[in-house]
Amino acid sequence: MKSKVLRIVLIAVPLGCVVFFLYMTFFHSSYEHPGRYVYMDHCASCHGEKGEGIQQLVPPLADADMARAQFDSLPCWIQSGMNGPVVVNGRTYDQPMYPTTITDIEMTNLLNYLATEMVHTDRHYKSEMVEQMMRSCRR
Amino acid sequence: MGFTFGLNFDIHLPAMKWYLYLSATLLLALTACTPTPQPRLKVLGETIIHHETVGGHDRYDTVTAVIPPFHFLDQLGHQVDTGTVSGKIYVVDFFFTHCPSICPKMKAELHKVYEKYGDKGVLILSHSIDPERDSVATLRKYAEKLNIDNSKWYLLTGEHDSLYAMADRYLAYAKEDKDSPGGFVHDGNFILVDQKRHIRGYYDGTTDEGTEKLMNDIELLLHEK
Repeated sequence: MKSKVLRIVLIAVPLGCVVFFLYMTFFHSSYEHPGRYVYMDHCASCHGEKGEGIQQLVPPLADADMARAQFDSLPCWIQSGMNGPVVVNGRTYDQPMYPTTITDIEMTNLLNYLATEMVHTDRHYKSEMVEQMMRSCRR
Repeated sequence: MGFTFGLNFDIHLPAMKWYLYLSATLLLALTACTPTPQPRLKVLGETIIHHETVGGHDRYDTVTAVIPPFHFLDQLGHQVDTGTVSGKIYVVDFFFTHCPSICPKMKAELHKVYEKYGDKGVLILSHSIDPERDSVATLRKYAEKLNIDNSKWYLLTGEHDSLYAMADRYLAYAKEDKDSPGGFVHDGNFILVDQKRHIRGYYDGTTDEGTEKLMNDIELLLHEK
């Protein structure tokens, strides 16, 4: 009777540790994309923490077809703002987007964050590319 | 086996069982008989001390602060006044449609309150602090974008001075400021007002936690008395 309990304990405890370790590694990771911080500071107030947008006031960014199709235009839109109606995932939105001042490095992190975790496109940027893109839209 | 645990549960189990049954029954009886005391939200704002002399004696009476009468125009151009909110719980905030900073987030948070309590008679009054640009037509467009029912969530505009005076009465901060993004500064608070126009709470409208707290307090107000 007692050897059975002991055996169960001896198996269950290490197994529990392994499961806990795996859970913490894969599902409870504290890693955050560096672009996430830029997003939270400059974008989330309107576009939402998960990129869900606000009703028909602010378009979503999560899986947004417009952002995916014109991803290279994002640096200039973010930097200079936007006006006039846009169509995102079949719905029309018409609220001005305000210019944002962020550095080239922040923009690079932000774009890579948006590409991998929000818009879902295989684009990847380096800061030299982004610097050039941002300079091209400066008036 | 040479290995023993300090406790043998088999021995204690029957006795434990009786103890558990007894305490469970007691606990049930206790919760059924004692009413859980409902926390009551404080009335906020400055109290007025009313003084009168009756038969040579000084009499003092404290009167709780009440939101004074008001009238503004909503997104349809209809008048919204003290009568509109009479006997109703309502939530107040200050915003402007061109606001680039906290207003959109506040509207997203307020939308949760609207979805949950709009059908339960709770009204929302969002005052514009930029009446020059926020005409009835502009507010109407904004309301359409927010997908809101015009009889449950009012976007208000009116005389510049009366809007700012109203902000003062709700103890909210709203000022014109050319150096701020959008040209105005205001706090990000939601203000909860009860059926008798007493202020009952302030909540950070820019966070999920603030909104949760507000909805919790609305629940308390709905079941008050």
